[in-house]
Amino acid sequence: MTDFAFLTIADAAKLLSGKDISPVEYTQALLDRIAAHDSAFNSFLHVSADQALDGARAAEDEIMAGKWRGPLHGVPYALKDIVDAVGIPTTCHSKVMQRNSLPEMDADVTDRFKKAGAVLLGKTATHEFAIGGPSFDLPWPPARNPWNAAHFTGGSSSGSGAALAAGFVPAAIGTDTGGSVRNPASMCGLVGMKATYGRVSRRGVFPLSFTLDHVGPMTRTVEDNAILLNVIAGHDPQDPGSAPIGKPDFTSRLGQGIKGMRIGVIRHFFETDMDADPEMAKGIEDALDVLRGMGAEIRDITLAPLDHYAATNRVILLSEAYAIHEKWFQERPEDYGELARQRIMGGAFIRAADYVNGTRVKAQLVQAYKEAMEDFDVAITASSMDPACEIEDAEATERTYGRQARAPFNVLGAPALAVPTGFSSSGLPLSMQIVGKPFDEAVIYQVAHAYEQATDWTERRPPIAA
Amino acid sequence: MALYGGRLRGVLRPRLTSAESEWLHYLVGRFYPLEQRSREGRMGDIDFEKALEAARAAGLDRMADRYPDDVARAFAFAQSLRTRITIDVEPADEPAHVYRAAGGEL
Repeated sequence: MTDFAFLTIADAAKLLSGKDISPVEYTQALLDRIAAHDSAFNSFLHVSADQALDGARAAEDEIMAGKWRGPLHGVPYALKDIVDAVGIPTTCHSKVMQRNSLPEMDADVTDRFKKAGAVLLGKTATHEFAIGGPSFDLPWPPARNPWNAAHFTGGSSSGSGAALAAGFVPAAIGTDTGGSVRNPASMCGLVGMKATYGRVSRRGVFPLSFTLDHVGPMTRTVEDNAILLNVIAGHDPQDPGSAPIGKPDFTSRLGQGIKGMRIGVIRHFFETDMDADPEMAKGIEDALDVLRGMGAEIRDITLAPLDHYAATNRVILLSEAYAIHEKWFQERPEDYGELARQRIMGGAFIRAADYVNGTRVKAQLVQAYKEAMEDFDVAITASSMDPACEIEDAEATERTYGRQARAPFNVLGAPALAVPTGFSSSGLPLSMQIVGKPFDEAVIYQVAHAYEQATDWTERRPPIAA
Repeated sequence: MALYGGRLRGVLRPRLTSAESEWLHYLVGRFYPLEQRSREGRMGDIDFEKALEAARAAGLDRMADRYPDDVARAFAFAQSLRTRITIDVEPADEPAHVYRAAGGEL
């Protein structure tokens, strides 16, 4: 009997295209699992069961008629609830959006899923407007970590992370402005890609920061992540930040090995600029040993200090976020949760000159990164400095929020992938980032896949009843 | 001793990183209301009245009236960012534009 809960996209595609399983059966199994277990994790804000089953039946009819669209045909997925899908409200996990939030058009990414024949199960929890969380003063509770429900999922794509780890979906979409795809991926033992700025359209996604926003795929394996990026990447003339370039097959380098590849280690991010938790640091060192053993050449690489990137990220992010929210902040501040109010409002007090200079510094950092990466194929650094903390410990969640090395790659616009590196002594996931040159996602996947194949981290499951 | 993962590193180390300072600043603000600190003359580097004045100048009167602590905290954080961002640019250095001229260059 097929274990639908933890089926990979790659395996599901074989079974679906071979007519060995039915999209309806697959979808129903995951809907049943959500109904049975999501009250412990709060990963979904809206489960669109009827719409999903209609989509699954349509996929089944096409597949049975010999019209298989590709690896996502008949595969269930979830969207972070800041991404538009016709017929389902986009709430941004906020009271502000509870009314009049039914989109009339799909986001570009939703449209691409639809064309691929994928089945949307629903919309997942987020931090309020992708910034204010984890919060307990919103209309819905925050998502909880399936590896231990007393712990934080990371954010802001928190529900997408929880839904994947819990075996509710094999694919989910997150967004990433300062690390919000890679944080829940790191905390929940998943693979999360923030591709190059411009690689995936942001049209139809509620913005946080125009300069730093990315849409990204979240999955349980590297191969699945590459399959998902194949579907959602592509130029969109209606997104002014979308890159007018073609896309490769992101799975094309999987299985090629990494012998002779040059891998940099941005060690100062997690050893001197911040000191990572010892178990997190050891996970990275062990991963480097694995990659070295596979024939990669590994050397340290030095970039600007971590806080230089963090400050640049926040000046730009808060300025742009405040510009988006200013009218509502003036007229209805009581409709925001405390954390979103506190975080976004900082943008009201940043001077125009500081914002402009932040974007000028960004340009300098991009150029310096380009030069630093000339002699390397990819680089490795920490994602989170610590494993997931307890979600109801407000001090700890606030502290770990800033203890990360993800924001630099939003400032740089460069691709960055969070990959599991094991588990802490308390059974919580550990992770690292593999980062690369702009538009070089396929090389990142090559290295990540080689590492994943040499370990068994992505094969482990959280302790949830079948 | 739950502070800093039970290891006390954050409070014992003589010099905090800016991210750690930011975190400690947040903790003090979150669990020790700013208005109370203001009354007690322990505002430190946060000027409560200046923050509320800036909020009202930005049209955030309702916010200033209802959530003065949030305003002061956001104001203090914005001020701290100004000291953290490293500006070393030449007059001719252009910003990183959102809009692309052509091709895939960032």
